[in-house]
Amino acid sequence: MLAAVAIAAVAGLALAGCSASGGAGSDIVIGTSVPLTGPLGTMGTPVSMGYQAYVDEINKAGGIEFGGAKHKIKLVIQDNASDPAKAAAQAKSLVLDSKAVALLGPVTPPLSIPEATVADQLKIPFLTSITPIRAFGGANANWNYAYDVFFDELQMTQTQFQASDLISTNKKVALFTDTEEDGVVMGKLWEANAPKFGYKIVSRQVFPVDQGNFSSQVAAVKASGADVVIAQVIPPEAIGILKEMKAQGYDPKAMFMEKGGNTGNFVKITGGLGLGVMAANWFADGMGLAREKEFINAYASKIGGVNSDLGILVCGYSIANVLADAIKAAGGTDATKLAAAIGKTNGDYAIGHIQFTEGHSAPLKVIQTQWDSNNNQVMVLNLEGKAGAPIVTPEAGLK
Amino acid sequence: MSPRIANLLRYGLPVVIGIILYFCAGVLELSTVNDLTGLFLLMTLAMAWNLVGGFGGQFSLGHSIFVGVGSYATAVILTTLGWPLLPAMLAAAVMSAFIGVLLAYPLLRLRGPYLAVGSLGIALAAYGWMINWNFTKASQAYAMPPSGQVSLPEVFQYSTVLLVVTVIAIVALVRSPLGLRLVALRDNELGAASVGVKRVRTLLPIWGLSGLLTGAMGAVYAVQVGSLSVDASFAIQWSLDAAIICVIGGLGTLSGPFVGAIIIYYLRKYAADFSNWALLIEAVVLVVVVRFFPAGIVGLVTSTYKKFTGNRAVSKK
Amino acid sequence: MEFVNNLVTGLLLGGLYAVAALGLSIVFGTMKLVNLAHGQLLILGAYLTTMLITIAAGGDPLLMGIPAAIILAVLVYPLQRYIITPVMAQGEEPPMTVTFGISVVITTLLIIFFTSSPMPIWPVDYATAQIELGGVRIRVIYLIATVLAIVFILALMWILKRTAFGRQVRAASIDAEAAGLVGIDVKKTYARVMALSAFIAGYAGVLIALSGAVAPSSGTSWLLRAFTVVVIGGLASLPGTLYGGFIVGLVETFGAVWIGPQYRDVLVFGLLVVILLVRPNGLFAKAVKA
Repeated sequence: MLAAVAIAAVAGLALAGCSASGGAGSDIVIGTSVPLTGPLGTMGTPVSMGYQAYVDEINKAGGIEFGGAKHKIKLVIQDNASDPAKAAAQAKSLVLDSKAVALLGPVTPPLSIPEATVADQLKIPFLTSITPIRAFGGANANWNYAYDVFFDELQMTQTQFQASDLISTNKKVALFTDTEEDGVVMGKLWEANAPKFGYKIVSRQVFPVDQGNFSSQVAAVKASGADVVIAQVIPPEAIGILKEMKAQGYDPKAMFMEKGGNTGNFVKITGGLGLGVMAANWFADGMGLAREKEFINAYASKIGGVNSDLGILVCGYSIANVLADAIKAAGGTDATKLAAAIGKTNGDYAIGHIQFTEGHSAPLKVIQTQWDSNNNQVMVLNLEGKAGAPIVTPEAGLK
Repeated sequence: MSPRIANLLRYGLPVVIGIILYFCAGVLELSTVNDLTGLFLLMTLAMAWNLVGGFGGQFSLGHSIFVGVGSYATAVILTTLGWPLLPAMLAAAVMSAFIGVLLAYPLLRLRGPYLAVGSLGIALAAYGWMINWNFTKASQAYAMPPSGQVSLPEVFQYSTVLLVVTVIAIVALVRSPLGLRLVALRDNELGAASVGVKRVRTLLPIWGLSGLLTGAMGAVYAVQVGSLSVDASFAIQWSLDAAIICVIGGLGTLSGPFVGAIIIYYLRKYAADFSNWALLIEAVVLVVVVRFFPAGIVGLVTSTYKKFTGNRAVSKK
Repeated sequence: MEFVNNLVTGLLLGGLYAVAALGLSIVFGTMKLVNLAHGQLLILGAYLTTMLITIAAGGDPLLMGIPAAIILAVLVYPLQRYIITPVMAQGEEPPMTVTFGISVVITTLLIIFFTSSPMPIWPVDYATAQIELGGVRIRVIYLIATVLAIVFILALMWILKRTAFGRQVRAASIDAEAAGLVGIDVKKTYARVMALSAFIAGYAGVLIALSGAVAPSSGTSWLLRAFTVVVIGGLASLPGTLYGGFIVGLVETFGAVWIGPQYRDVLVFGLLVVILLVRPNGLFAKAVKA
């Protein structure tokens, strides 16, 4: 009896349709589902700040101009709490319920790929960053509406060796990677790149994502006598590894922590152990980008330093800029025209030169940076692969 | 009302509503279609779990395996064997049913909290394995091939058919001898054994059916989401969601999963902007319901209804 | 030599796991309650300690952990008394659901107040200190945890045997109804047991935070580990928790070395399932009870 009532209720819901919080008027609705909380919250927050910064800027100037009028942007931000299933559901809802005409992406492949897939399914233009482009292309060789602007893992995994060349080491490398996608992809590339630069991988450590205890692995790495340690980890793993290295008195000459080492306040949350850790970066003081000083002055103190959080903000700002330019070029928000216009992007933006290849990705060249004690990541290897500021060696936090 | 009319309503109503929705798929607004698909999948998951958790009295925290197997098997069959979509989904569901029976054997030796912990352990071990298995691309995204890519209305149709099939199967089961034995077993195992109800014989087919339906839900989910990852498909959250929905709605009732699913789905959707508060509300509601309304919302409504209509004894036949 | 190192590391790590699991063990053993909020109690202990250190503008975590654990126990007492215990009358599963709900409440509150990044670590030396005894590396914090595990277990065994409270607990765990009949306030006893469990868990959380990193979402993996320890070690057996911890620690350490750390979950949870099937009362339980 009650079951019948329940079924009828559902049917009633279906026929009544569900209310939508749609966009209004001539505003252009752009949606974004980003992780503001959860393990990726530290990256999702600056990227949404970047989106908002650009939207505020262009709205202040009246909006995007096309068709003889200026159209303001309405940016709808939702928090997917770093959950891939929520990310996909919110992307769908932003398009179907909030009537977004384009989507700006989240961070990292586990979130970007589901959202990009939804965008292709719904035939809505999607533009993301903070997603390595081989991971992006590996999920789908033929994206139609989804685009990615970020570094190419191939170039990124060369920078550690190039930076190590700037100091004297025994050319022995220890590799730490976790089992998630980035770890697998970058691990393979490091293994392939090492011999090309004359380095030898003497210890290879793989571990699951929530690993807490690294004692046997750090012991093995220490025993291997590597002067260079390269790790692809998330912040809690980075903390665990650093603590164990300090405990065992192992201080490598060069310590690279990719992804995990790109968290604001890294030195503070590692209790000082992270001082001197290096990580690849796409934004730093002295890198040579056109609007470097402008962004540093405007946001460095709010962010807390010139570090990857600021870089993420600038990435977000830049792709919002790309999207707006494409809307202008396409003369509107028609999905097919807009997607094509994005694909034709070829210009200089805050984060650098952006031009898409066939795989719908635009590679950004990365440099190497090193954490100092003021919450800044200082450039030690520049865009030409030459030395920037001198590398502090061995790793200061572990001394 | 006569038993014949009652039966007609019981089975006919879901079918009729299902047919109406199926043919309306192309006409409804896309946002409605999207919402209903998500809602129906959640309902299917909860109903399938309710078989084992509610009617069977076995609190399983391992159902995420069925969702994972259902979704990945569909993708793998489509990619490597090149079957058409429907046979692939059915095969994936059958595979999931098979795993359900396989798991039931060891799990049936456990009771209560041990079963919960044991099933959770199996689900986590499976997750740990899948994240390293290169055949399914380990932690990398596994995209559905073009043969598995369908339009939103079509996914909705699949989810509608699945829900109707699930409802009918469970309604029929609950009224069947097997269903009666199941509930007898749950409520009074010794008593049931004394009249010849065999535990393993009764529970094995239930696990198989639950696995089948949950696996089918996983298959439709794969089509809905388009790109699979071990993190999402094998997430423990599936089991937790099913359990929460059934508990809030009413464990071991037919309409409990419906009510619970509606509440949870719309709560999560409309609180998307402050998702942590939404989670908090969900958890507090869960605690309040279990503490003060253990029969769930359906139980609450039923007992209030009974209070108002007084003592309606036997209905005239 | 490396073998000895791994052996010692595995055992001491196991000591940390044991102290983390101890709270869960006494609650499961005496009340048959599957406390799914246990993991979050561990984490909450660490965060409360950080709050106290901030308020007091300094302080050693091992010391500040004590008042933090007490506060946690005080907060948990009414939770058990008025929410969990009444639900226990409904059967074995509803308390699991309620404690799960409580764990989510704790997690979301922590995220709201502290954000979801890892908790900033306390800059104390002994957190990363290591000593060497005869060529064997010993990480100090694991040694402290193992010693504390043994101390807590001995203390608990003494409480159970020698105090009035302990008698009440034992009576209630054997037969709650009968205990009520002879005048024991079972509800209060349960609440006290849970408070004790929360105290130990809160302090264990401090040790966990010292040895690695904690974030609001870390509770789940520690809950599972604690479960594995309790199941393997056996319920109703306090020393069993210690041995269970050792076994899990050794399996993790040697599993990482011989098979590969990426299979850690498969190994540990596989072991959990096997033990559940073969010796559901654990490897070190006393007489099997129905």
